Amino acid sequence: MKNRPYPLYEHREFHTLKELVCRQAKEKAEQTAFFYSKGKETLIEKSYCTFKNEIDALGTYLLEQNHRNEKIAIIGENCYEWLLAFMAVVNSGNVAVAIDRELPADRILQLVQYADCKAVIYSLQYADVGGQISNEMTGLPMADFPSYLVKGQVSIDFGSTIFVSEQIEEDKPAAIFFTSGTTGESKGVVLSHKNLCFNVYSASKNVVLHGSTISVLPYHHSFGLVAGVLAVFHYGFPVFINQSLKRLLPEMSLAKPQNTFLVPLFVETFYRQIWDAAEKSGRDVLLKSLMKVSNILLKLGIDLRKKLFSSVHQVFGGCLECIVCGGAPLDEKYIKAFRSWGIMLLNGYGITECSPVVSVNRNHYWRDKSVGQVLCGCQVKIGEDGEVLVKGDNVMLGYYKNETGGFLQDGWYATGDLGYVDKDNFLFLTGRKKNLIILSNGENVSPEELEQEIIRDDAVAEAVVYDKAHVLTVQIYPRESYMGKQEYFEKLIQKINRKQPIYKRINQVILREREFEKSTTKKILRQMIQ
Amino acid sequence: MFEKVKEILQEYTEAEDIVITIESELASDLGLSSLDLVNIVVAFEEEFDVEVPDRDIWKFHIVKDIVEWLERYT
Repeated sequence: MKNRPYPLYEHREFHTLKELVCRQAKEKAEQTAFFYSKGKETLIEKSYCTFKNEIDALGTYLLEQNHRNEKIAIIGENCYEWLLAFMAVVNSGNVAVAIDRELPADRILQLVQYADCKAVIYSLQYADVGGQISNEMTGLPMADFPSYLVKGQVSIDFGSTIFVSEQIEEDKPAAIFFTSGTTGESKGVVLSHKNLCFNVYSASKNVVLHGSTISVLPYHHSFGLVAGVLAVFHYGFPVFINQSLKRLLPEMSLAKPQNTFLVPLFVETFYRQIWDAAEKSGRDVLLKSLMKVSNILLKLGIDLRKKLFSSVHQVFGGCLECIVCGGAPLDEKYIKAFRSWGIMLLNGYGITECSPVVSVNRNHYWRDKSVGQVLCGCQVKIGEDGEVLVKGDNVMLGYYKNETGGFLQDGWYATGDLGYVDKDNFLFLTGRKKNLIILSNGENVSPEELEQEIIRDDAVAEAVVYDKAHVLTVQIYPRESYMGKQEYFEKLIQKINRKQPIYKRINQVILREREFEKSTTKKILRQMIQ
Repeated sequence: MFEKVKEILQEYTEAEDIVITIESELASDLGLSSLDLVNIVVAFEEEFDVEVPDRDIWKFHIVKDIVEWLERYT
């Protein structure tokens, strides 16, 4: 396990998702592209060739039903039919509108209207949504896919080339993903085939995966779909589709994945569960000692991690080697712990507007505090105020109904994140621009930078640093057993202050009795803090 | 029903002395993440021999939501 620069992985370029599907069907034909469980006993496998044939049939059906140049919403849990729908829609020249499955029915209908969708594809769980769509829209239940596939296939058998001959323009919109900020206002991010293909291609140059991957993150999130499914499809390895988080652990045992793509919430939860289980069985001290010993042995070139931490590996099915993590900041303690256990945790940075990956640590070249090396072909520069600016083929066409939103005059996309890039092209994030505290002396303080330090203490559940009447203040929501222990937290802040320049020192510590208010995406609502 | 629900929730909340009421908010009062909630629902499914659709899980905000769902479907 070396940590040093090495050449980027080589891949062949592709410019549309149709090209990718055709190429993989030709070269991987009968190999498994997707597999998933149906009921408790049955495992369904879909080869690359079957996937292409079913896309062709469904795409033919859509075009023959005059769904052409339309926006078509897709709503449902993660499932094979979701992926089939997405590919049939984007490869027939239509635009797939990915809808958040956690939204209530009325909000789903609002977004469908806002995106001017002419059809809605929905899974059985969302039959009520299908029943409420307006008369101008067509409802296409996934439950009816078998009959659509038969109809499309019959047309193909009788010589229809309506779908396969449909030319896809790489610069035209392919998909719309909605982002939700802390203000609660959703914005539709319009991505082209080129955006999606370039992102898969360039991210694959940084990271390589081998073996099967379990896809866990929702497909209406660009990270879950583009990285968690399309990139793996591009590598040519099978994707196990976890259709419900309730079955995640048993399905890990069933699928025995070597890779997965996660957001920090999952990593943190797994980490906590592993330590909780160790504590309950009285083996936490042993686990800590083994980690120390293993790390020393590793430096000597002896890798016993699979044996020493087999109980940890069993949680993930026994074969997990790599987790690619993105979507929110991740403390380095998780990266180090997973590495000690023999699971590589590659932290990355992405935003939907960049399709989504901007940077990711590499299999054999990483920095634990960094969100990775900037992708080849994607330019990152730091604005005068420290904001991370991005340009490249992965940057969106624009927001739906607000094409220029988010872009600076010279075409750079302003991410709203603050950071810097080191001499080796590793990107480091320090906070959010909108949270930046500008002190009366003109100095800038990124609250997240200090919060990260504070949260590292086990007594702290949540912390927010803010400017309270020109006094740099922290509000802390302590863990239950530390409630009201003002002195403990005063001392903690004093300790952290010692490492900071004067202007970054926190002057007031307020303890909370309740958790901070949060948005629907579980982000703390900073504007509510007084 | 509430007592059984409370018992299962108690196992998953970090602190033993936390007071769980019918109006307790799952996230802010009990400190549960969305992933914790999924795990708890799995425990409910085993205990009450029911299957909670994923979509209903997202609708659980307070303890009462769970109790009412279970009273309706068990």
